[in-house]
Amino acid sequence: MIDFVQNTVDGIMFGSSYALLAIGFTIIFGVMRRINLSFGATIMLGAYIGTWLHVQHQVSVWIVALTTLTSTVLVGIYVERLCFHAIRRSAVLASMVSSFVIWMQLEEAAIHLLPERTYAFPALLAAGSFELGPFLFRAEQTSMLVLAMIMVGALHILLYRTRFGLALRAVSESSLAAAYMGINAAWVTLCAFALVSLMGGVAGYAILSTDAQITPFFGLWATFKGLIAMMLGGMGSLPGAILGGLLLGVVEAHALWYLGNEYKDLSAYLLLFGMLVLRPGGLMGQRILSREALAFRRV
Amino acid sequence: MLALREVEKRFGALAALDRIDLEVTDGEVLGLIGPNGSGKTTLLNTVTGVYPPSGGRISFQGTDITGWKGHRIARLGIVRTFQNIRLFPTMTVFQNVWASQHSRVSGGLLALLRSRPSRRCGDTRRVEEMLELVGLLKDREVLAKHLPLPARRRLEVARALTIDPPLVFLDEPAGGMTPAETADMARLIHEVVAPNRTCVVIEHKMALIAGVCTRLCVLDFGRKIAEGLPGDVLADANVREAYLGTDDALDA
Repeated sequence: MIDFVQNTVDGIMFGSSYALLAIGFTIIFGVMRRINLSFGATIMLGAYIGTWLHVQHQVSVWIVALTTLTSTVLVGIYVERLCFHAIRRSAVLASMVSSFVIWMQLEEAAIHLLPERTYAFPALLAAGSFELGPFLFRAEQTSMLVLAMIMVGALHILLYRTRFGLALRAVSESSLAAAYMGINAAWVTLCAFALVSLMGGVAGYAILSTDAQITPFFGLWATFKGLIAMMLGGMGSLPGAILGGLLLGVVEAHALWYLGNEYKDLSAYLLLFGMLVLRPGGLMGQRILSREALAFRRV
Repeated sequence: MLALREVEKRFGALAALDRIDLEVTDGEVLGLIGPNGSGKTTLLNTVTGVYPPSGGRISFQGTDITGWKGHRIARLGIVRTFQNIRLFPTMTVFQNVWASQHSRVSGGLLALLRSRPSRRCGDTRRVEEMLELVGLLKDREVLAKHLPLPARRRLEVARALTIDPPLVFLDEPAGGMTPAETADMARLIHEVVAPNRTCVVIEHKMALIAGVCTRLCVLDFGRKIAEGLPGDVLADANVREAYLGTDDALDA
């Protein structure tokens, strides 16, 4: 029983980062109706630039953290300009393919920056742990959860308490209508990319700090986890993205404990498979997939 | 108010708009009519910046807006509704109007983070007044996608009017409506939309056109074939010929 609770708590903590990744995919899907496959690679390159500064110029861990976040945002803006803004809204497939191409490009850039495969990631927090009753908390995972909660809280205020949030939600609902109410949809979209890149940068930084190492494959890994978490929760639903991320974290933690490390990723794929068969729209989004069709049908 | 000079729009070899000259004067309700495919919606899309014209100039209140993006034109004061309604489907009726009123963010970074005005302040009254005018106040907490079609069209009108634009384009405001619903829409345009502003209505239904328009402009194959007072235009031989053999019976 204690193991079960401990696993669940661990899963929730790690899952909070999955939730941030899933929110990134969800917001971009909302404003553009597209999936940005290069999201994970964006975060990976941002973190690589931070690591590169540390390896080549021995900057402090604080600078690494700051650089990781700012360069993730800049890479995110670069991706938006090159891959999404340049290709018109109607060309859904073309932008999906081009986001994959940009992913490869970002991965190449990272390999050029630091040609060896694996580097130690300079974490802000030293690894440590504390006990609370019978449970063990790892400091870096606890700070991951705290960071994620702060990000989600800030996002909630941004979306529901500011003009920008209102504009972003309006563009998500109908970008055409938003434009003809005077909202600059292109600008809102660019800001959305910067915003999710920042959140992704925080999630990536927290995950890499826990892993204490970075490889170019982190991009692939982050895209997988974020996409799976989004699909579990339901495409286009923000509460769904959070739930999906936590669920994924918890299931992985249990699989790791009861079945072993080799079954951890397999369990995630099985979970997604089961969800797609039983409830194709995910936990929260069963109506979202056909939202546009529904909205304009005569009642 | 709005002036089009030799405006052209070509899609490949097809001239959807062929050198259109059109003047919309202050305070009028101009009916834009014509058979299907005659270029009415293309004209509206060109003026509101969905796509730029292939040639010619468009000016609004003395400002040349040729080739401007849609959101800039909207901020200048030209607002439209859509033939196939474009609401914010999972927002409530109230939020649809509210969002339209408060979400225009200017380019500055600081303006982005400026707090949305509180719902408690006087601004909610403006939204409520607007909903009252179109008869949707009782449905204020209903999701837009759950409204029946006539109510959705009224909500689109309310949303367009809430930012008090000098010029409003209505694209088939009575599309898909029964005669009784059409009469309601005509009354709404006459009593709520038309006073204190200029209005351009694209419509097939003569019941609506005859009831609300002060002037008509007829398009056929992308060309303007007639313009003038409703009675004169509808009696025009060219106009009757353009409609002959189509579904859009002029006497309906």
